Amino acid sequence: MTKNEFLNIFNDIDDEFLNELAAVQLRKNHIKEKRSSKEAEVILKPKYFRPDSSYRSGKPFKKVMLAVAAVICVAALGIFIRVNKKPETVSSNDSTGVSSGDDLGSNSTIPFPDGIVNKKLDNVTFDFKINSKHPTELLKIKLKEKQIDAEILKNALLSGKTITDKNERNLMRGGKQITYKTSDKCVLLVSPGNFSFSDDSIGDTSKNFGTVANYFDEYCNSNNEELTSFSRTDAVQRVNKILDEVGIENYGDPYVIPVSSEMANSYLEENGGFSKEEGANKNYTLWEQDDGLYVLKYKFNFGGTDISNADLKAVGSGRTIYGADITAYVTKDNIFYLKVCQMYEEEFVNAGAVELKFSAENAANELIEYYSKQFVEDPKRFTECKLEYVPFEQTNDSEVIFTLAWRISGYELKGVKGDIPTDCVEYYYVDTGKRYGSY
Amino acid sequence: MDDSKIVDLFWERDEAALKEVSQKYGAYCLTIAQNILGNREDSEECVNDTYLRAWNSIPPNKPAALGSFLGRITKNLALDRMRYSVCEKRGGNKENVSFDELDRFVSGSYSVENESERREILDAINAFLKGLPTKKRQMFVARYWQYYKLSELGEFFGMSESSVAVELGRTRKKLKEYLIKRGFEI
Repeated sequence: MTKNEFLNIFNDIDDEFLNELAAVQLRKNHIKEKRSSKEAEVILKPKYFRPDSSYRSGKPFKKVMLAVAAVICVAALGIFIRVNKKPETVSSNDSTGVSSGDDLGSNSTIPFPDGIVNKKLDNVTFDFKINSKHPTELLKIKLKEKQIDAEILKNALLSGKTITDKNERNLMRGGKQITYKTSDKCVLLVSPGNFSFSDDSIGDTSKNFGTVANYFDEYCNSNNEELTSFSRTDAVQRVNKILDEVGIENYGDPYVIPVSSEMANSYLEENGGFSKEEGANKNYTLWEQDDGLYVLKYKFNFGGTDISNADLKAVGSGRTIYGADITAYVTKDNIFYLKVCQMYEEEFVNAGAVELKFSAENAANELIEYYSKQFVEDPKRFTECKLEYVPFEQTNDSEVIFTLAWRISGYELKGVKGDIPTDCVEYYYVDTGKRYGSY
Repeated sequence: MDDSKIVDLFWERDEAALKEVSQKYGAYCLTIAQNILGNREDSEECVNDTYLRAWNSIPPNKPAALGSFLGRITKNLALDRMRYSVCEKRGGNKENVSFDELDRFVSGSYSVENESERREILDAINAFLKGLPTKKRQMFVARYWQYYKLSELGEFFGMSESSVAVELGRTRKKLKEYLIKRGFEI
């Protein structure tokens, strides 16, 4: 082969690799633009906007966090499946429990004694429980984008503050984006299905609460640690109170990432160059003992089944549907960042049955089979398998039909030297067994 | 703006599509063109040609991934322009795409003879890329698809130039072993 032949063949590599790289490049451009035009950034994006793809990308990081993250990653979870058996229009909060699906059986090609998947390939480990009870009725659900009145959000999040600027602009997809700015550096953006609040008087100080939180949000996993300065329960209750106040109901328990002052200071001391890239203050101030914060990440759920927070293509229309989630950064005194992405109304419409022909065992087998044929350089570990709603079809600009897929997730143990574990997620449709893709 | 919305604008023949594409992917396309052409003026022209070609091809096309769709157009236009420049002895930036480090990667003594063999090699390369850690994969694609310089990759990934060269060298070696193990002569 000649060099040109190689480059010519390489020119035709799968789009997914180009998209992955393009997403990182767009993100870097976004950061550059933020640095060069801070005012414009405030209007267009919330301060700690997390681009979609960056959620899974690698990032140089330091040894301390590598150790912390590697330890906290090793929890294997079982599957919890609840389904909603409802007629046409129903409330997602009224789920009716688990039903047996023994008749569906399993056509596993690899036996899983006691429902435990514990399989080791060269560089991939599968280590999770399989729930042997499959539900007998599963539904596609049609969801409508939720719109929260800007006034309600303003009253809940900017109460007592002086609004210095209100800006409205028409969105190309329809609807309006409304931006409020206050005299004490708070920004509230509201658009159909989304809103974000950030308080730069806290997030953007020399302690870099915002950048530090954003970093741990992207690159660390949940753990059970408690900060000494305030409890995670306190943080969760405060955020839940706001969510309830503005009328958001169908969120589950959050995934909590505690960021202690020690963790933050390790980051601040060891990431001079990195802070430059992320736009943090170069002249940072180390955190005091009481300066810890919690990153809270919520998923929405319907009838007890989570809706995907990944950006996925709807099978029917080919359109990308943004993941639905809530992120909050909480210090002992404040919630200085709250972002709600892609809210849907709590009411949903039954859009037809989904037949579970492809069990969790089948999905695990497929994945094991897939990886047994792959070159995998750095170790991966899959630790969880559960049902999740993924987009099936967008019926109009504000309505999406979701179907069900098995979500098998875990993490990549290490990449380039200095990386911390990154998430890896695979989806398989329950009715066809088709691999939806990896994220 | 969501890619699908931009594609919809193209389909509706709304010129706002060009503005949105330029806003979202302008810098991305320009980087690809500049990496190949090494000349801002030519690169900008190339990016404009990309928009025009996109305008003429959507519809009937409805790209699912707009970024890679535009990236491929830009790259092909830039390569055409570079070949033209080299042929016409008008300068060009041939060094950028010479990739001396590939000298030891390929033998140069064997030629891919038919489309099915080419397809098999491509499938193997795709499978190899899939198994790479994210950052190594991005680095490899940025170098050999987007033609980034080592120094630019260093800046991009927060590594020294020599570390980038070492990482790329390891990945090339692994790819070579991977392909040979699967019976491909390279």
